[in-house]
Amino acid sequence: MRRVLTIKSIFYKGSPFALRFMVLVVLSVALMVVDANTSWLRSLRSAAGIVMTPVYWAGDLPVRFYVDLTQILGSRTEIITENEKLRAEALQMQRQLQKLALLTEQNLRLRELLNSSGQLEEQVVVAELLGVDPAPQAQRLLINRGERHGVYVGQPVLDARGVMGQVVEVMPFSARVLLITDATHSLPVQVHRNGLRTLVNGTGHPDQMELRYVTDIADIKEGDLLVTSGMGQRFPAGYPVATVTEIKRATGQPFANVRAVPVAALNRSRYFLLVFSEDRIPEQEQAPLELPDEPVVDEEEAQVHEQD
Amino acid sequence: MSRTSPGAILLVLVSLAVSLVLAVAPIPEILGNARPLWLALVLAYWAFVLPGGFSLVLAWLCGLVLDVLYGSVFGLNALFCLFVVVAVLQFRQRLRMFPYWQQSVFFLVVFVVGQFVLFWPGWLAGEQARLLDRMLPALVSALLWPWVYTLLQLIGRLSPGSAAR
Repeated sequence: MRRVLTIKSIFYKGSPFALRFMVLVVLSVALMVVDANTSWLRSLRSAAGIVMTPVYWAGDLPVRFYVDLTQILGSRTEIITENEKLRAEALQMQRQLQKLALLTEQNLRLRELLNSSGQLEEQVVVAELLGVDPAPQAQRLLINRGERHGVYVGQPVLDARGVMGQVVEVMPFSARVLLITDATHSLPVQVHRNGLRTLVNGTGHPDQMELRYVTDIADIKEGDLLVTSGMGQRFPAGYPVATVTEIKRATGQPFANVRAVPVAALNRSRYFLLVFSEDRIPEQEQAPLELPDEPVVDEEEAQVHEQD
Repeated sequence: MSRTSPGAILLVLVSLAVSLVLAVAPIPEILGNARPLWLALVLAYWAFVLPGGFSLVLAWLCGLVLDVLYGSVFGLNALFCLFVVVAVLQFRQRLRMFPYWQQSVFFLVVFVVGQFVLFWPGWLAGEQARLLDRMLPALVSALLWPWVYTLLQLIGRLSPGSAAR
């Protein structure tokens, strides 16, 4: 007859491990409390994070091997057609870029005319996926750019299509990114069509996000595109975030139940863009957010008048 | 196998390193939530073989490494590994005599309780996940236990300098 595992049976008198166990448990709990509430251990974790790169790299080997193998064995015709398709896409994108340059110039001139303050140039760094956070409910990724590359905590991360998330932890050569679909992430957005500002939260599910604070009478429709609003000073404004998929309005409820699907290919992207905004200094723990008196000005904007 | 032979130490380190790599390696999406708790399985095996006090400290340290890898609160996985190892230590003698399937049931109970310890911070943060999704790793790991046990035993016996245990 097997004995039931009771608390008492773990600590019956004479158990030689009891003391050591208790000490280690207390130590673990203390660490958890300290890590959750203070940042004393951050630098320790950051340094220990150097172990992550080799482990994740080793874990990724079979996938990389398989991908390389399929490439090596892929038929020549397949590769040629793919090549042509990519060339066509590149051509399209270059054309759009030219148009964008024109539009930016026009935008600058119009702003000058209106005497508004200059736009800040955003610099971008490309990073590659190092690994995915193994816990399926935690929507987080590891990327292969870290402190040595200037990555800072709170830095926005995008993919080719839209917003992915933000950096939450920085190690010397890698960083951890919290995706917008994580249950603890909340992103200020606005509806592209009419500028209605709201928040979109993750649910822990990779394909579903929710807008919790939309009133019954708000002007929002299924199919609306949500873009970053720039509120909160963290994500630059105007980047696509999600599309509204479902709106349920129940009379008597203060808020409608709105669901959205992220625009970025959160599960499939391997390459990401890290956006550096020039007026942001790398995150310092206790310093309050300092808004500069004069934004750092690019050469092109030397003629811009500035309003406070 | 002699406990302090260099072969033994190497085997411990290698098996733990492999379990850590498996713990973060990407798995196909169909398997999704069913990632076995490799580190816990390997630590449980060593808890059978190695002196108790040492197993506890080893479990604690490896748990901390797993915390760094997973980005979870420092000490969370350490607590989980401690729990698994202490459960094995308490029942070491009896467990050895159980048939494999009964050992699996034992580990199923241990892992399920351990998973609750692991997941309450996520639950507090408002993550939505079905109970089955959360318990699947425990189930899969319990089923894998006999294989892990025999594999590590086999390697232990085959490594140079080992005497029949």
